[in-house]
Amino acid sequence: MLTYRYHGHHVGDVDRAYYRSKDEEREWAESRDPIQLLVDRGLVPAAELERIDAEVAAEVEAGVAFALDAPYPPESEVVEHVYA
Amino acid sequence: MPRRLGAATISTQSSSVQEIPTSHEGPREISLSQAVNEALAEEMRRDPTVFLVGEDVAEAGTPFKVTSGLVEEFGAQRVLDSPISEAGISGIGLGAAMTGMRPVVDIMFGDFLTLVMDQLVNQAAKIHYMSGGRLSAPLTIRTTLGASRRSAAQHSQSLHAWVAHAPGLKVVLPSTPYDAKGLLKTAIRDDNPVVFIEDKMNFQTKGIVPSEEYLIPFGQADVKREGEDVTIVATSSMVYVALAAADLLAADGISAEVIDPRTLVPLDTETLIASAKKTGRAIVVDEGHRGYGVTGEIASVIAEGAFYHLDAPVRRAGAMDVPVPFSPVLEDQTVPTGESVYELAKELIR
Repeated sequence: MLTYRYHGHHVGDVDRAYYRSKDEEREWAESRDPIQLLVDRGLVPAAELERIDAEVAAEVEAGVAFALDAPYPPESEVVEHVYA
Repeated sequence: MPRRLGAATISTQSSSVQEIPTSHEGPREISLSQAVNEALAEEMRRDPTVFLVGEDVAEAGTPFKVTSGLVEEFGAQRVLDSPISEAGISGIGLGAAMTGMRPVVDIMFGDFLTLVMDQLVNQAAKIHYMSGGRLSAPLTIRTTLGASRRSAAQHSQSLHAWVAHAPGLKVVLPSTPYDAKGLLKTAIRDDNPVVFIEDKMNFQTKGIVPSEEYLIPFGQADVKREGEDVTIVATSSMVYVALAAADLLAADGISAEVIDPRTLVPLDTETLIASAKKTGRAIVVDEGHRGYGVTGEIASVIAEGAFYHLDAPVRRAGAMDVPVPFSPVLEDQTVPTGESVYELAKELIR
C-alpha cells in the first residue's frame, strides 16, 4: 500500500472501528508515516517541518476567516455559470 | 414538519444499534426511516431470497441510519457491505434477481443513478421484454432525491424523471412513513425492477403506521387533503410544500385539494384527471428540474384528460433548471416552497 488515509471518508466518519481497527491506524501513524520517517532518519530537520506546518495552518486559517467574513452571494448569481 | 434541516441535523454517526421489534401493539408514530427499516426487516423475515447490498448498509446502517440493526438480525450473508461501485452493486443485484433472488440494492445518493443507468435501463428494464417474457428481474433499487441539505450540485439532485422515462421500470416516491412501508413491501414482492426513491429531507418525518401488516398497491394516488377550488398534485417531500400552500390558501378562503400520485410508474391518471375536472384548476409540484420532467408529464395528462373542465392552464413548479447550488441563499431559490406554490395558485384563481 502506498497511501494511507488517516481521517474519515467524510467529516462525520469519526468512528471507523467497524471497518478498520484503531491499532492499525496507530501503527501507520507511529511507524509508517513517511514524514515522521524523514525526521527519524535525519533527512529533514524537525524545525523545517514545524515551519511548513505553521505556514500551511496560517494559510488555511486565513482562508476560513475570509470565507466566514464574506457576504453570501447576491441572489442573482443563481443562474450564473450554467453555460459557458 | 420542518422542511429546512441543516446537514448537521441528520446524524452521520451513531453507535446505538436499533432494535427491530418483531411485533407491534396498535398504531405507532414512527419516522420514515423506521418505516423503511420495518418494511425491509419484515420482507427479509418472510422471504429468504430477499437480501440487501450497498455501501455502508451493514454495521454503519447507511449515513441516514435506515438499515440499522438489520445485519445484526440477518447476518452479513444477507446484508452485504459493498465497495464504492454503484455499477457493480447494481449488476450484482440484477444477476441475482434474474436467478431467483429478490435483492434490494442501496444507492446512497440518487445522484449516482448516473452510474447505474446501463444496468438499469439497458439491462434490467429490458430483460423481460427481450427474453419474450421468459426472464424477469425482481430487483428493488432504493435511492434518494432532494435538495436543501447544503450538499451541493452532486449530492442534491432529484433524477427520478430519468428512470420514469425507461419502459420496464416502476418508480415509487413515498412521502409519508405509512406510504413508505406499504409501498416498499409491494416493491420487493413485484416481479419487475422497481426504483424506490426517498427524499433525504423526509427520513425524520413522522407518521402513524399500523401494527398489522399491510401493502399499498402501485398506481393508486392518495388524496392528502380534499378541496374544491384548485388541485395541487405533489410528489415526495413536495407533498408537504403543497400542504403548506393549501394552509396559506385556506386563510384566503381558497380550498385546495392535494394529491400524491405515490407511484410515477404506474401513474394513477384517473384520480388526477377526476380531481382536475372537479376543481377546474391544477398545479403540479415536483422537485426534479422543471424542464423535460415529471411536472410536464403530469400536466399534460391533466390537460389531455380534463381540458374542457379547466378554467385556466395547468401550472407547474419544479426545481430551477440550474445545478443545485451549495450556497444557502442560492439553493433556497431553486426549489418550490409553500409560499411560491401559494403565489402560483393565487395567479390561477385571481
